[in-house]
Amino acid sequence: MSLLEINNLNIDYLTEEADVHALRGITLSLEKGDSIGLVGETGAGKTTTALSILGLLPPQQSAVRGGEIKWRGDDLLKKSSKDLEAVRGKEIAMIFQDPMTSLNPLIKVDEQVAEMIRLHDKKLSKKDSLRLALQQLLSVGIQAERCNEYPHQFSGGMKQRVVIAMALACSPNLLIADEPTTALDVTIQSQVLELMKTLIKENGTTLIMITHDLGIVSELCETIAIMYAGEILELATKDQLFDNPMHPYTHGLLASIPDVTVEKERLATLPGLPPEPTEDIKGCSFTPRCSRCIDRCRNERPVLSEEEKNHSLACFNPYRKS
Amino acid sequence: MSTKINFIPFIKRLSRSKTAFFGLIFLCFMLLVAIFAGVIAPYAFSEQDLLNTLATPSMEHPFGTDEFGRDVLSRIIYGSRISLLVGFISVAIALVFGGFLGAVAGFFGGRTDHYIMRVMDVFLAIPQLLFAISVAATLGPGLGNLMLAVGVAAIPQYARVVRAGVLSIRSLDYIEASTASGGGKFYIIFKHILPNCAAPLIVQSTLGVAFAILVAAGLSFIGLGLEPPNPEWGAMLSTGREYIRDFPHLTIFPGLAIMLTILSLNFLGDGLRDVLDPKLRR
Repeated sequence: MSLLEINNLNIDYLTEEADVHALRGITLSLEKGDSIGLVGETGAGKTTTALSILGLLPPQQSAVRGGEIKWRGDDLLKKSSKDLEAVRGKEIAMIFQDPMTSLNPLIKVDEQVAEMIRLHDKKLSKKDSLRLALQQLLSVGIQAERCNEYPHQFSGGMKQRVVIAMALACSPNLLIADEPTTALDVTIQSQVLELMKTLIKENGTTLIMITHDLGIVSELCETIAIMYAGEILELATKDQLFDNPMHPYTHGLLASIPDVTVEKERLATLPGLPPEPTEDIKGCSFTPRCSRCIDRCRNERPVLSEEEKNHSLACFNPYRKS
Repeated sequence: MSTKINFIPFIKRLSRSKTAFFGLIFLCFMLLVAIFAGVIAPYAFSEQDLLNTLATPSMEHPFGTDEFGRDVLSRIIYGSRISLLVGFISVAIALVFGGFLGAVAGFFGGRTDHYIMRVMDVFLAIPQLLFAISVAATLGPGLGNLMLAVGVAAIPQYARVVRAGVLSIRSLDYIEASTASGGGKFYIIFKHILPNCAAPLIVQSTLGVAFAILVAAGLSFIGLGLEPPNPEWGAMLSTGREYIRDFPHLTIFPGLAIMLTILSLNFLGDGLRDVLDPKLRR
């Protein structure tokens, strides 16, 4: 049994005018110890996927149009909110994008971590939980004498370390990191990534990393899923994806990464824009921007299927080496 | 709340603002006066000296005497008990019920919010004093009823303030983060949301205590508050009104008592807001 299995998940956001199709049939499966990076541009459905796993989608503004999210075989979408509370934080934890606002400004950082621990272990005394919190904070590189301070006394990088400490406090099996380093500057970014890498390895935590930075996923993740317009277009191991990108979109994406060794006037871009999220798409969602589009693409929707070992693809006319 | 405020540094920070410190000192003084009224007051509040009515301030009666020859100072001292009690208890009533309704409305939103807030709107449409009068008239006179009337009339205001605070805090990342770490709804409301919208509530509450004292005085004036001879600052003020031309000490001293108490409450409220906001801590 897979740890996490998402089957054909469809999610709409409800607006006055039309339903926004945020996810159009996501299928994904994770084993224990996997690390997967969800990569895609804004609006591709990366965050929606993450939020739906934890059941954090706004209830009145979103609707699940089908599919299932199986956690150790149980469908999370069918769980009551009480049952979900037990899963959240304890089994699946999440790190949010902006560390500046992810901490309660009124509670000292060690108490915040301790709170998190006590939420899932009610029998623990306050003193014991504070002791555990201190250990946890030390493990993310916060000095002991600073643990008794308020979040506003911390820098952005330190706050994100605290957030990571909180997320890992109950040793969750799955950690979802939603662009954990976008709000940080580059040097701090690499420190935080390095820290996450070590901690994940030590604890054997499964990781879902959301980002639009291919550099970050290549450091942290073994598998990469390329998302576009609420679908996964290509799913492959890191090496295969970088060495042998098969989907035209992935091709374009990799081509648009600037190479510092080559002098170029302009960066390569993909022409056009992603489709309107309210549109019902009959064929492949990438058709209008695709240079390899054939007739079949317009009328039939490609399904993610294994092209090579550990390399799945949703495309009728992919690039092939040879 | 597990966030304990260390008392000594708290006072230190508060005393950086002179006005807030004055407010705190004066309120402590009033509290002591109220508690030890029986010891401090030179006369009993209902003791009449009919040969010495409407006396101007003297050594014997520092604040003079009223139309029945009762010592004004003693009546102000005993009256502080009633005013402070009414002020704080009625605000506590309004805070607990209004706060709960506002928090539920703001947090759950949608239909719950709609129903609660429309009912609150109906009550807000009635002037608070009128509403208090009708509640007091229904319940009858007496200290408990007075507090209830003033408190119930203030519930909608607190519901509004709390709801507005909850709405602005609810959408912040650390609330979502807390949900994501398995916090229940009421845990999040009490642990994360309410403490973070305490600042406007503190200001509203201190002003509310002041306003409650005024409303209570108004109710006493029309006979719906405490019955005579119980001393009540507002009632003293309104009976003194008749003699204001010839014996202004009957209005000046209770008026001063009300003014200083309300002023120090307002000063303290502003000072507390500055101190309780950790972002302003240095």
